[in-house]
Amino acid sequence: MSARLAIVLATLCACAAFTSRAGEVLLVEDFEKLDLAGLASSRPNWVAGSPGDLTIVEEAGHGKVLRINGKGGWPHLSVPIDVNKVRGHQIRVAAIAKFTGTYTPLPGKDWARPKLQLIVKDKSGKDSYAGADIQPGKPDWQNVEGVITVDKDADSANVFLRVDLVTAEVFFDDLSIEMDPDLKNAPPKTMPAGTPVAVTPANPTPLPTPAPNKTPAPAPGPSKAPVPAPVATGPEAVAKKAPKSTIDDGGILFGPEMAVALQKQIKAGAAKNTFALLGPGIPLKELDAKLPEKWTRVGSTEKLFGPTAGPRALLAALPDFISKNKPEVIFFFGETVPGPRKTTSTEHFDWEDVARLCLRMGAMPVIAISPATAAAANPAEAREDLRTAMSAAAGDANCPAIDLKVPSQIPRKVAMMTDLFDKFVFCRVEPDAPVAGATKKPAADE
Amino acid sequence: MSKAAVFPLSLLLIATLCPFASLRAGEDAPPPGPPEKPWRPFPEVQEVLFYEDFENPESLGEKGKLVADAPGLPPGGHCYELGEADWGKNEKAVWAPIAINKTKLKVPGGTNPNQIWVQAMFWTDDSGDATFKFKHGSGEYEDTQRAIKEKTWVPVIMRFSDLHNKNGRPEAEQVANALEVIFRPRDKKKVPKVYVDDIIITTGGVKPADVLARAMMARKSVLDLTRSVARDGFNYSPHNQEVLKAALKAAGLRKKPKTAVVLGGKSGDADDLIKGMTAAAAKLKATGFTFTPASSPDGAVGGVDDMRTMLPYNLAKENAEYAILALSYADSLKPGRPSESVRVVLERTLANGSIPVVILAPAAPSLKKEEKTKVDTFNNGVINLSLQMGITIIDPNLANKSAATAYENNELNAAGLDAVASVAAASIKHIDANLFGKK
Repeated sequence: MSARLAIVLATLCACAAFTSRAGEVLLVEDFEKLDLAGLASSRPNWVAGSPGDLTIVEEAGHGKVLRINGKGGWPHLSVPIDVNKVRGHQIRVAAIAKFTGTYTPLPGKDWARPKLQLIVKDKSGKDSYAGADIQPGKPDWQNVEGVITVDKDADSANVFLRVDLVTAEVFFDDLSIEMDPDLKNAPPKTMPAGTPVAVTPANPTPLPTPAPNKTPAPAPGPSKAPVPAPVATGPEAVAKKAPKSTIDDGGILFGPEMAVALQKQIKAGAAKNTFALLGPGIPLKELDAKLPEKWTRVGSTEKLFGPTAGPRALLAALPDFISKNKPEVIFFFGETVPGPRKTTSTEHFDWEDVARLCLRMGAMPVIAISPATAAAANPAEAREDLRTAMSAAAGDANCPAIDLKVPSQIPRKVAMMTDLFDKFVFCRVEPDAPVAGATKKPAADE
Repeated sequence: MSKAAVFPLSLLLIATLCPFASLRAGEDAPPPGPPEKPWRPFPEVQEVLFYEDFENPESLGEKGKLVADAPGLPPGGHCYELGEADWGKNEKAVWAPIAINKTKLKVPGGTNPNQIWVQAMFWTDDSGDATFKFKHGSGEYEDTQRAIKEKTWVPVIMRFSDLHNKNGRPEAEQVANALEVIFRPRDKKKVPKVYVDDIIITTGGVKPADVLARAMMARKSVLDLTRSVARDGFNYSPHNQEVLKAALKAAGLRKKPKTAVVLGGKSGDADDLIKGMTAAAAKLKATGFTFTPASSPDGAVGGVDDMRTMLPYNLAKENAEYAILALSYADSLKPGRPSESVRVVLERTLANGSIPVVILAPAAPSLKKEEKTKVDTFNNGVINLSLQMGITIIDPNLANKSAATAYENNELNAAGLDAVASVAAASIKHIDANLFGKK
């Protein structure tokens, strides 16, 4: 009996050992916590190409997924694989994708389409490909995958979720990368517990984030008294306490990472507690009566507000305005109702550059995102495109934003934003102090 | 054929085929208008369907070669020497396929073949038979003129409807995709010397001789307008002019001084470029131009990031006609697709009613392979954009003949910038004279 049991146990152990050697999951990305705007800090080697076309959205039954809304460019998310680790090994990349719409193929460019792709480059620059095309017109999620054996001379390996050159809206989820996978099994949907994660060697943060409900197992060995973590102090520590909110959840885009980044952009010379309200959405009657307490509004000129003060006009006029008035914070209001201005082919970049220009010159930008007016009679006049462009611009410039969807809440959101600046960026007010409100102030435009 | 041209002909053709309007993503579809006019190489000479004078280094001929020393050619003129035919060695035939499919020519393309004439000038050192052969999707037809006179330039002319094969003659709806010019000598013992020039196809029943002079004049104006990076250091063409005119028209009314804002690859480069451009403009007698370095209220600017944020301010401040934009090696290394940033800059500049001139990123000879790949990828993206948008570009490596002394830390140094500045001044003078007329 004991001998037979020993044989069975030995066989099971051997099987388990074989199974554990059979493959290694290098990455599972379910997009639940991926912050595209903060990619540079959280995933420094990942690249969002044409970032304005990439968003994380909610999909029923799938939680958060990656949406790539290709508009004829090269939007993609690329994830590098540590090639030193995978040389000579078989790699499987997989994802699920949804492509309910269609696209117009480009003559002579069959490759221009939505796809999952793994590109392995050898030292002479020659590419090897694996992956799968996403089929159009399918209402259901598609399983797509590609398998390749990485050459021993491979120089780099990158996984892409991409929409090349065509206009198409595609959703991706559950991206996985496995080394020496068991191809009979479906690709993994979660990382195996305890997997040491490093898709790329330079990635400073563990990927993906461990499940929140799981407590790390205690380290083996003699127990030690817990060592309290050092208490961070200073402005950065305050910034890290900033509340995180999004446009979809609370109507304000702000958070600890953003506050830390904004602190690094502070330049001496700005007039303390001053702000300006600019853009084509100004004047706004809701703001004529109520403005943030303890803050002073800086007057502006006709070039900087009103129907023609689109982002391109702002880019032309802002440097002189900032140089002369030195406002600490500038709110840029998109149109709240459709106006005469037409969005341009570079609308998203224009707003992004408005924000970057402010940061370059020491003013903190806040993008006030136009509401969508889907009910507009003429779809060409709908503000949906403007809203998308402004949202993407705020994300790409990593700057705060407020939502203009509910006009009555605009003064409150402006006041909340200046309060966040006071507390977590300039650190002039205790973080726990009550939220400052809006108060009546006269308009100050020239 | 391309003679080391930096711009492959295919790219130029892509640019020609891509209407500028297609770049304007998100705009409404244009309302249906009148049917598009049939393509003509010279809009002012509607009777000419095709004309090749072999004065362009990117000639459409294949198999033979461009020559400048043929008998009877005017000084500086070129013609095409037919090459020996592998398929006709016994009869000592020479030929040249003329790639008419690289143009928008559609012949007969719906026109009655009886209304179409084909002509070419021939010079041979031996008498023989000249043949025009046209190929279309499902067949070919040809006609031959016998015993053409030797040692003098003679026109060989045929009516398209006289071409034939064993099954019949051309039909109006067919579209030829290749033209072969063939010569078979009387003496089958030696390969003849045969030159062709001024290949012309006409329509409307007009004989080539009746419009050849007008076609030559139109061609000359095209050649006068055209500049190539390989030959002149910068590019310009009727396509550039057409697209730029349309862009300026869309930008609205404008009255600008002859001012060029110069934004370098890094702060300080603009000053070197301006120094060189001012000196070069004086030598070129390009009078009235003012060159101004781009700046911001808080200091100097440089690089593609500043082009995005600070160029609109500078163009507005100076009411500038031109923007000289020098890209850098550092720009090519930026994450993502840095050429996308260039697209944004170019579109905004045109929308402002200003003309951009782009200096590509330098590729220093000392670059490693992977570094050079990045620069080339970036530059190719910019070249494509520029061709589509009709924008003049300058290759700093050609301007400096890739001399190592022109580079420092993979960027252009003062000497390198000076060489580029000369080309930039010449390009602005050329654009100004042709786009706006001499001011």
